[in-house]
Amino acid sequence: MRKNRSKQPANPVSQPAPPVRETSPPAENLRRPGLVARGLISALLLWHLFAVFMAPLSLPPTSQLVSELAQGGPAAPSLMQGYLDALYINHGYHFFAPEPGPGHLIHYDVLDDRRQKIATGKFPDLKEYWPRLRYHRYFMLAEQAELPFPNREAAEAQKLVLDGYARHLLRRHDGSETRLRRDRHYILSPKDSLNGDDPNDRGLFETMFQTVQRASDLTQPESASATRQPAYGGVHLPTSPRSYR
Amino acid sequence: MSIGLGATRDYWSSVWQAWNRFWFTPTDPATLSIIRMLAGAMLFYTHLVWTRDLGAFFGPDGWLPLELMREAHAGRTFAWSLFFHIESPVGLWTVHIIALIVFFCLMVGLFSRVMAILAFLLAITYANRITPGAYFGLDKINCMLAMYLMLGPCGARYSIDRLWRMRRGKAATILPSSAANVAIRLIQLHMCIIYLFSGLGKLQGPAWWDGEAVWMSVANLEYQSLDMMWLARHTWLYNLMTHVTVFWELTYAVFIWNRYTRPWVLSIAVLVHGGIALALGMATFGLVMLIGNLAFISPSAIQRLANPIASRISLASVARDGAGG
Repeated sequence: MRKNRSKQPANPVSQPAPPVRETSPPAENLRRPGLVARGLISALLLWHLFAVFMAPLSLPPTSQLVSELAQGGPAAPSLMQGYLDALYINHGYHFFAPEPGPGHLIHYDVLDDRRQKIATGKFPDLKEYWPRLRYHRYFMLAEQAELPFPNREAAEAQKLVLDGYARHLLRRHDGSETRLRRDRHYILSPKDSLNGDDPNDRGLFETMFQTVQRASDLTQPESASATRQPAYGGVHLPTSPRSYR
Repeated sequence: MSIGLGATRDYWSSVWQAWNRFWFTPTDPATLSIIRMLAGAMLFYTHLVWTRDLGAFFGPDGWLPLELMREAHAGRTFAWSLFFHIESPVGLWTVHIIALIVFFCLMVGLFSRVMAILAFLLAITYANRITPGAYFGLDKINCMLAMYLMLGPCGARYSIDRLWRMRRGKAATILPSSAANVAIRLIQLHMCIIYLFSGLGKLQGPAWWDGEAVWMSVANLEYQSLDMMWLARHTWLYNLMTHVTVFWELTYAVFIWNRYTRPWVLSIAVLVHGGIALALGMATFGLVMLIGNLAFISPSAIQRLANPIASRISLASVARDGAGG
């Protein structure tokens, strides 16, 4: 039998009683939403879960059926794509897939009018970017320079992104020229690691892209840089399909 | 004929009953509340770290120039962000300060439901502005958790809202809620879909078949936060870790629902995400995935762990005999 708690005197603050266990009515005795409400909520739940499932399923390689259902076409995105975009659930969740890749680093030099270096650096860089989450954001900048833009070739998209980085550095340091390169850092194989090879050996680095942006380029729109020829170097597409050199 | 019809009717009737039990059985909001507190803390920290680089990442001429991001989102009308329309530093900082206040309020459970809605909208505002470019799994899970938190009574326990209700003399009893159950079920199913596709994606990579993927992850110096190069001497160990990761991800959606296999599935989650947090420099991502996994912990287990602490806080704060949570 339950005690009548309301007849108990209130405990003074200085001598608190042990916490009283709550009593909750059995779940089955509680009111659920009505039948119509449950029907409507069920329809929404089915739609939502179908959309959440279709988002990763529609990532390449995928079937035409799934792709058009989930994404629609470039001219007319599907209702589902709009829903997924609006809620930011348009993801593939392919963590470390198809396989963990090599790392990437961005190196830069910013020069003044007399061609003297006024800033030099790289990212990601543990010494400069702290805490670790901040480092990871810069790491992602270096990694995601290869992500595709709609209606642009991969190499063109990479140039566009990296020119954007160079232009940001120009503005930040008020320089007259930025030289920037993106290096790929291959992973040491277990065998090479056991042989005592240095994971930072120069042979494990490969320059994928280098560019120059000048102060005069800042008057051009961002998208214009993709159609100009790189000042030197340019895009170098990966030679190794695996992460080892 | 009538037997067939009857059997069909019974089948759909029992399907509807099972569906109702799964989605609409009221549940104690303890699990949802603890997820609110921890996800709120993660949202607050994630966005606090942006403070130093606010202009560099979210300004119009930052690392990811607004013009390029608009092109990247071309045709994606609903991929929205306030930062696509705000260019002045004053505007950026105003949104940022409001966002930090909202995430903090969500963490401590002040106006929890309203804060959950605002937190979801603000988290998307940040995430879309840096997608693609600087986003990663943390942003996806942060937004996902915020989205489901706003569907249920996420401030019913372990919150300032709760302390206020007690101070005002409102009943200590917390009613089980169908909305809390819907929110928790959605987190559970979303987690299952995440792991399923994470596993399926790995099947496309040879390294997840030949057993070297874990080595390739820990030997990547840009990721590495713990020197794990000693693993090179233990081929079988990194092979085993690779295979376990794939099979665990692929079968998570099956074995997490069984009461006997669930502890094993969750234990491996702690090992995998703990490993990512410690060795691969992604403490935030590892932790946020574990917060998502909390959806599979029963409200009674959460209460056993959290109520003694909550009781002390509430007894210290409220001059009356109160209940935990």
